[in-house]
Amino acid sequence: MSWSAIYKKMGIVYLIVNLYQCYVLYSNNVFLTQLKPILFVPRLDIVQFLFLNPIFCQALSESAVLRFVIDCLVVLLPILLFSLITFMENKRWIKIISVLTSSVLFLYGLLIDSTTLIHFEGYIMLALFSLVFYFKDAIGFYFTFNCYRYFFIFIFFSAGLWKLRTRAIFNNEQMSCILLEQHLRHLVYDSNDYFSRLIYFLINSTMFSQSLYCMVFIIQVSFISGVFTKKFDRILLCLFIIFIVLDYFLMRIDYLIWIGYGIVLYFSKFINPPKAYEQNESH
Amino acid sequence: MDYRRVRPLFIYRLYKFNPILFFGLIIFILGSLYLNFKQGLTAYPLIHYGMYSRVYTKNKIYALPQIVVNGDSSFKLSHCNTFDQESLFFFFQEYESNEINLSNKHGYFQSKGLRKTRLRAPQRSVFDTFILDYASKVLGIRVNSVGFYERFYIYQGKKFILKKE
Repeated sequence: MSWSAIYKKMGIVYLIVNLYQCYVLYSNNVFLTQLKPILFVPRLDIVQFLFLNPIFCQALSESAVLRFVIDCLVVLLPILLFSLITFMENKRWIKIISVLTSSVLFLYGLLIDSTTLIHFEGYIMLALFSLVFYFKDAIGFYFTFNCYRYFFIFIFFSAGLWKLRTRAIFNNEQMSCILLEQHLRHLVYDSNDYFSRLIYFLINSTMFSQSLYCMVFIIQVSFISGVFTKKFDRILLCLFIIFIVLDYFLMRIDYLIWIGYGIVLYFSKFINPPKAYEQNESH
Repeated sequence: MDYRRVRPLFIYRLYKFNPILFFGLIIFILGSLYLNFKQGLTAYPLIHYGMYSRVYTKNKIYALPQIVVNGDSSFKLSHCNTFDQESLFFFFQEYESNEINLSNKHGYFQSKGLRKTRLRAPQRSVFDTFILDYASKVLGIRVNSVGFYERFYIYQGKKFILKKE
């Protein structure tokens, strides 16, 4: 498969992921236009500290027009970027729109994160995914694609590393306790349904549930192999899908949008350094 | 083994391609690690991906947030969807924790010379007005008063028993 075919296929995935995220926002009534009243509850992190200007937040809570314009940008810019990469050859415009889309999605993620239950993480992926299309040539795409792939590996591996650092992996009751806290409301109010019985079984079978936690830990740590080789990318993709499915059914967390990350593991074996570049490298 | 045939790592290729991009990536990784280890996982949203990494311990008693609407402490939220229910609790809990944590954070930022801190928890009056409007919207009724409290449950292996006051 040529790089340009992958470039366009990635564009389709990019569009689907963005539209899905818009659907999630719309169905939960959390587009900025749908948020009325609006309250900014900032999180305790450095990026919000740097970017969320109180004057801007104030203007946003008071102006419905501003909220509508920002929502339109979030919906239309990814569609525009997709159209440009699929149907046009103008590299300059692709660069401008990919940076603009990335910045808008990044800021929108901060806004949504501080006003709703929807978290920022998905928007980091969307912002970075927009930058993958910045170069529409074989060498440039090779580097943006791989930087994106490395960031994904870094996220997953760091989650595994963090489990070691906090020693959560050595806590025998870790998974039981997580399930208790995650499904507390469900267990209290719907204690007899099929799902509750499954969760109670896992909570009480400490060994079994902890082995699930260890399995996830191993999946996360195994992503480090991706730094050194692309040989195992398809295996990592399978592990990643298992992780998403388990999270969806067991933890009731929807990581479906992360398909935008996982797709790099599918295409990575086709993305090799361009021949001209390799020859240049050997000299 | 012919070492000339070993393909260089991507990171080395990146350095050859664009040293600025390479150093940017290195600074990003080291900066992320530094901030995480100094400030904790939630200080830096690019690495919020803890995925249940903190240590959890089993308690005998669990607190479950409840809502009092128009003086009715047994108000049923069952007709709202889960997202709306969780959102209501989220605003109460986030507001309470932000009032405390942001003031601590301000102290930290100011001690580092960042005097003009931008993060502010909303004032209590602003929050009170907001939560009434928000509850009215989510619950679909006119809400004149809304409160938040916790009900405690004792965990007994296979069920939860409400703890009597």
